[in-house]
Amino acid sequence: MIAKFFGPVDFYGRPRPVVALHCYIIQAGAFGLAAYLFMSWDFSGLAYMPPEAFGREARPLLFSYWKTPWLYWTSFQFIYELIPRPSVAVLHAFQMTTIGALLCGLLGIFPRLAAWVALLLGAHLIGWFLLGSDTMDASATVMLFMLFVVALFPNEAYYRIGKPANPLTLSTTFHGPVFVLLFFMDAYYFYSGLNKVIDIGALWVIDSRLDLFSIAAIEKSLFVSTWSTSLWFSSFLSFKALGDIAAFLVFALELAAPIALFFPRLSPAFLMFFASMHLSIYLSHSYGYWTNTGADFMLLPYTAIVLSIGRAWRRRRSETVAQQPAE
Amino acid sequence: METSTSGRRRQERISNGLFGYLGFVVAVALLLPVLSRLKPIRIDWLSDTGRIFLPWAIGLALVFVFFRRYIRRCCTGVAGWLSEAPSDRNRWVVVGVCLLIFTSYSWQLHIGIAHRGVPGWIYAGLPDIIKPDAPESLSMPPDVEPAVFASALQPAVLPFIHRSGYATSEVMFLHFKDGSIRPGNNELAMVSWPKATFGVENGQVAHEKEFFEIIRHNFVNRRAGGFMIPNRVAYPSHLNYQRIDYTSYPPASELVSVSLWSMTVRVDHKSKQMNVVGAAKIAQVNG
Repeated sequence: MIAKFFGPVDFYGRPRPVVALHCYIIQAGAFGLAAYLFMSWDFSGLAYMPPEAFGREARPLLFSYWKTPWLYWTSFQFIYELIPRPSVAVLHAFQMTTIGALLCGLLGIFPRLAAWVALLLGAHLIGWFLLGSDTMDASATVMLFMLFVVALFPNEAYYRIGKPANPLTLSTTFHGPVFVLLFFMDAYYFYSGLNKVIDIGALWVIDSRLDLFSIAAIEKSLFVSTWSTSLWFSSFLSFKALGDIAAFLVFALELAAPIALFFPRLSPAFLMFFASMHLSIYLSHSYGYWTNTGADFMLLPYTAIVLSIGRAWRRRRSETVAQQPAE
Repeated sequence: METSTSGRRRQERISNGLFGYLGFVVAVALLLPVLSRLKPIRIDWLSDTGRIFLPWAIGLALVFVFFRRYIRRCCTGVAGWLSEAPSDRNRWVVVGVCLLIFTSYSWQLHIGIAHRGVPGWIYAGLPDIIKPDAPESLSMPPDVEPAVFASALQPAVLPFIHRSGYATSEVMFLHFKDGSIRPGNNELAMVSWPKATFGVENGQVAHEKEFFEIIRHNFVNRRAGGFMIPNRVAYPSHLNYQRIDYTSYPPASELVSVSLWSMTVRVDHKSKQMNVVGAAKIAQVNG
């Protein structure tokens, strides 16, 4: 019965044939979503931030052990200890170059080079934003990781201008990027569940009190200076029972996220739950985790979908041929 | 024969390397919270928050010790897969990225492309926004019209309010050459905690010039309706302040100062009305 519901155990890390289309979807999705973000936010104003903003101690829960987040080193913020901080025009040029690289990658023009350029410059700008604004944006992290995966794609996995695309080619070579992205997203959700246990304890569900958050979010909205929320969604979540159910579902499914790596049949259900979780976070907290939602959609089982469409098409074709009258 | 022997040796070396690396990660993961807890030795680059991770690190170490045979078997399997085609870069990429993700969490590293995940936020004990009693010493400034303060309120929220009382919040106002004073918010300053970034204390902003310039810079985009993509369809900012329509405001060149206030309103949920009953200036920055 359980096996019938969950399907067979089949670790997704085991190499298997994947259609090239899946890598094309990841390439287009990663470049497209990153371009969307970089064309929406203006990073150049960060040049006005006081230098002290980038050297202060990080907020504890965001970076835990480290007084200086490692982002300071890995996004090359430390170079401004050696050279003057850039002007608004220089940051603007960085951003425009990033956007240019992302659009090149989206169109299939030197996609590997485009991914590396966008990753290095984009990470630098995101580093400015996170350190200067003293915040931690999970959607930017997922976006940068997607670019990292695309930068490391096997050569055959890219669609490129001037190269004939073969989206239906099946090969184990295309499995690596898909597995790595699925592993990353599962780890991200699992760690978020684990953090709830580590930071608060196993009774996080009881202490989460999404209903109190929702009531506060509505009441704060009386002033235009505060955080944004969807009033109807927050009033929906302000019922304690509904808030508790939502918290329980998030907690349980985050901790169970690694299951998606072992039960391919369950994986789409997990991914769609998390995609809807991001939507509900947008409605309640106004955080747009669209890169995370995009990653969830990029990980749907496209190979199985393509193969089943192919099978159905062949079956229909053979039926049509069989029904044709003999001449 | 020689090839298969060298292949086996390579596999063994990779397997030992993987197992050794995992052991190293677990050992450092255990060491970090222990170091955070050692009071006599203060380590400048470690924060006190790391202390709470000791149970987790011990759990990780115990898993490694109790399941070492299984972990060793996995390492051998992965090493075998890598050894099948040693020149296949893609296999090394897959294994390397998986190790990177494991390491970044175990050591709680935010490296830009990976971090520890969302912290365990809770809202139990969240103070009420609308309180039954009025704050002490409420007053209104004589030189500012009450309507100015009312413009920083959203009456459309009132149907969703289910209690009466007093609510207080910090609000920002933009002052223009024509004498008009209009509401803004800290999205323009690109900060979640302006006090931490710009040093607002005792009526003074430590970095006045920077604070004013960053607000003016972002106001230009906001007033124009967006950066490269219109605000209404743009990727939502992580600094998720309420969207204010700045399009009818005077141009940025006419911005002369920015003021921060603590403002209190009285809300009556039955009549669905609210009135500003107090406003105290926190700081003002002139351009």
